[in-house]
Amino acid sequence: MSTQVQMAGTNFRRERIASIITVGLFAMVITLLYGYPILNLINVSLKTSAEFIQNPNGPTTSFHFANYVEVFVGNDFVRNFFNSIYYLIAANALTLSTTALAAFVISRRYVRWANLFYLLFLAGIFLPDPLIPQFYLINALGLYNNPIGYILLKTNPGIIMLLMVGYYRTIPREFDEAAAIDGCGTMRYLFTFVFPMSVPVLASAVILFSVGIWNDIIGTTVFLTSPRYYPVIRALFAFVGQYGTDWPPLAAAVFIVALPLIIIFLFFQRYIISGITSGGMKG
Amino acid sequence: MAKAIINPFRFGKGIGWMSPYLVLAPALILFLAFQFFPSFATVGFSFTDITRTGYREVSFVGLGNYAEFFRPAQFAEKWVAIRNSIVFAVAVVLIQNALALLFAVILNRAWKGRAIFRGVLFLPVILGITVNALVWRLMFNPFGGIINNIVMSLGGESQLFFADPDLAFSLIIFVQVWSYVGYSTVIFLSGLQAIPAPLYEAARVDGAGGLRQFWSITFPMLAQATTVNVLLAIIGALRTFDTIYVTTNGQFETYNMAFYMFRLAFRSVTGSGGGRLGFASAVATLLFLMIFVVALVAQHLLRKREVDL
Repeated sequence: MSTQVQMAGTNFRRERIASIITVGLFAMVITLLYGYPILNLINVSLKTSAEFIQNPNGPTTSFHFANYVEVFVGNDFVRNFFNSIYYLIAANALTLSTTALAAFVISRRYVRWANLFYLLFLAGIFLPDPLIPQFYLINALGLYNNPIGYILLKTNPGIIMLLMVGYYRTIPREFDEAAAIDGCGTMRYLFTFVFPMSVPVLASAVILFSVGIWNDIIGTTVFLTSPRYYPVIRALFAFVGQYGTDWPPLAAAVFIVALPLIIIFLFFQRYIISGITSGGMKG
Repeated sequence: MAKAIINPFRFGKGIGWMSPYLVLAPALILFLAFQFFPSFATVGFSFTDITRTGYREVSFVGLGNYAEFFRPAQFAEKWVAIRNSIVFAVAVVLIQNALALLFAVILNRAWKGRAIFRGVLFLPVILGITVNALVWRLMFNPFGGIINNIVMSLGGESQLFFADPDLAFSLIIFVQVWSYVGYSTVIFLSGLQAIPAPLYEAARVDGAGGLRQFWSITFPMLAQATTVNVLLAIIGALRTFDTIYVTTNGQFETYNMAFYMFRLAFRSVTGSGGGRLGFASAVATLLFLMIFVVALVAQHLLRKREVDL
């Protein structure tokens, strides 16, 4: 008996050591493969071009913030940036408001064929690429090369529907009944109770959807052909062509493009991760 | 199942029974008009010779576009697209999920700083593919970039990386996995957190070691998370366009079906028939069939595993 306890003890100690080594290795690998490349980009963005050629990998000595100014001077970067913000807000507002409502009556089966509607929305994730007919549709509506047409085409519940239906199912139906008995209407109930409770899943829906809009190359290339409608991601592409291997100003542009989403992420990180997990798994 | 559950709000003021349908309508109408019907129209377009410059009359060509796709004389460039789609999907699904599972198991232990590492791992999902690809183009810069320096200091030759026909495709896979492994990790993590702790205690009492516990408890209990992750990765990988666009722009035979479709439809390459929307629609439909079959088989296998438990 006592030897058994001892053996269990050494096993336990060995496991602890193994665990510390695994965690240490993991932390090192993630730092090298994830932390370093992003810090490297920021570091390069603060060098002068001459310094970059001489010493591409060492820490910056000049702290050349002028690169960040250069991004905005003599081009349409500012306009492109605000175009993107406009697309982001408009597409989010339209997709989220409509999806959040529809997901509620679907998750509660307050409509007939709720499961059928649910599958219909989810089918959008893997059905044939609608791009080519969308091109004709938007032409026919007279909304080609028009931000409104682009935003309409970007309205797509898809994965957001999955997250939201999954999340609403965790809110007990008894609350609906109690609210109804108290004479609360559907809309008031949704806006004063359901949506405030759904902040985590709304936050993750916003961020996942926003990443897609902010980085949309195909959609903006095909549907918005005037340079004055270009989003910031296309401005970034113009930079890649213009600067080629002159990395410092290019790296500054990359960082500026990345910054808004990093900020949203830092604010909502807790919500985002819990939203993805709670919705995605029960859906 | 088809019947609606009695809506407690229907006795309230206002439009009564209709209100849940009114709540559903905006999303449904927008979805049907701008996503669902265009998706189906793609299949319809694939039976025509429609072009982007609409000067010619459009005519029905039956399966002509499909016959052309598989015509042996010019099949080589299509085969590259098919092969790349398959290799890319298989590699991404396997590597991404294996790594995500490993990362999730490590992140599931109690240690200081794990929230920070989880956030860092998730960060590329937020940054988006364009930023990610440019971050790695800088790392893989052939002119004094850090990775080239490491290769050379280890006695290797200077590499061109994304401009090297032998390396480019593997590096695209790398960028894709690097970008999305954080998402899969988060889903596995939530699966892990749902496993009841007493299972492990019981196994430990029975003398099961760490590896044995993993194979007998952790892995089977993650069946649902695995299904979600594998299906999302398959669909995502087969539809990938931007990772290729930003890294190699399809050069060096790194284009896949999605990229090939876009090039046919919206890029006028002299001599190669840009703007052939009918033919491009046939490619889009074939890609859909690929996704559908692969996802269906994967789902069948994975669900069977879920039921077996």
